[in-house]
Amino acid sequence: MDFFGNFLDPQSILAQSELVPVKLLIDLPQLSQFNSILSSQSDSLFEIDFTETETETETETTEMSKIYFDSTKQKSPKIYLPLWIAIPLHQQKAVQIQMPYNFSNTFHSIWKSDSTSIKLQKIKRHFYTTGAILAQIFNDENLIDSMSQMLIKRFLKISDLADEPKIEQKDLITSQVTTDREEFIDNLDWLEQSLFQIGKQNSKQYQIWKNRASHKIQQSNVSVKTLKRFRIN
Amino acid sequence: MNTEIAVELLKELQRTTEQLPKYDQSLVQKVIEETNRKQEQLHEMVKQKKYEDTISKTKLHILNYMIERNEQILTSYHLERGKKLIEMRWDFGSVIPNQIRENITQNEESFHHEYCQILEDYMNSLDLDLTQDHQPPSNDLYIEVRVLKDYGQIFIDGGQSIVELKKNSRLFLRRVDAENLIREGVLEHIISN
Repeated sequence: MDFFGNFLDPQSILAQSELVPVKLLIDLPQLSQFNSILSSQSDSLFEIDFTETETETETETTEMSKIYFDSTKQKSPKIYLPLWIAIPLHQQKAVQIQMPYNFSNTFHSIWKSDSTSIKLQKIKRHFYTTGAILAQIFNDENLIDSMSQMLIKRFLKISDLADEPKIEQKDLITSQVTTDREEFIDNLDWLEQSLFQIGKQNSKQYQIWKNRASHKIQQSNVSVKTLKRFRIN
Repeated sequence: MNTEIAVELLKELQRTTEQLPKYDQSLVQKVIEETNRKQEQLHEMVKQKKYEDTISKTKLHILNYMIERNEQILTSYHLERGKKLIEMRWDFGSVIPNQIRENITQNEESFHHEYCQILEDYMNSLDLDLTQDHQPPSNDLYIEVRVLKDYGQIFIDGGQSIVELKKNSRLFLRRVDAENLIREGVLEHIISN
């Protein structure tokens, strides 16, 4: 099952770094050693959440990471793995991917009713990609439906903002509007940000066409960004 | 927080405001060293036949996924840089500005040169300049331009005439002669409504 589309697309690769909670299906008694073998030189590969455990009676740390686990507790710690490793392990039945709390049914009604106030970037940078993958894994059509409806409502606002010129001069009234606009744009997921950028370009192209200048030869992006000029006699 | 040092390469490419950021030799080297280390661990486990129980098999699989992941990211990084160089040929011409030349490796420079050569050979075989007319052209054979910088003399009309480009002067030139200089930022196309 192909989850990520284009193998060499940078955005697909970055989306694969999103973390999801998993449950171990195989026994891993030496979890910290396991992690230290696999981690890179800096921090650990896995993020382990111990908020559900109570008091820790025994802890073990690796030299590289800040992982603690309680070997006396029967309940296993919650583990978060990046998608690029969680999916193949899930397919091999070494782990079981669990639905993240932020994608559970609890939130679907909020997505549909109050779509434009949700700060997606704070939930996941690649919110829709992660949601689509989770929907595929769990065969959850409800998730797809809720995300689609949210995207449609947010897209209406995104395309309106893309058409608006940026307000340069602020007074007491408009400065508030501009702050909300900027805040909304800063909290878009990467898919929405791409749509916003395309909307802005379209708006610009429309203005050029309106001014009967669509046949005007434009300076290339390279020369705009490169400031020096050559002098040749 | 997961930490993949290789992912930083792609994030660098995304974050940059320049046409092409400096090739991050040190980070690429770190990724290659990390991949080699994982490869050695994998070979060691296979050599010692440590793959019979489920835990060891899982470790082997994970090592393999990490190696593939690093290779995927390195390939994507180099491919994206290659695409930007190709885009530059179509956008700007076959000369690489000095600011960008400082940011690319020798391999990338020779890639760019070979690509330009292939494109030239192809265009010569068609007797067409495919890099002209990025926007749909109007019916005007001649266009009005303003000179933005002193540029010296250029050949026009297929090499038959010479014209001096002095700053702030306005000229009527053939579209095919002016287009490349406009894209380079030497001339500005003036539209009169």
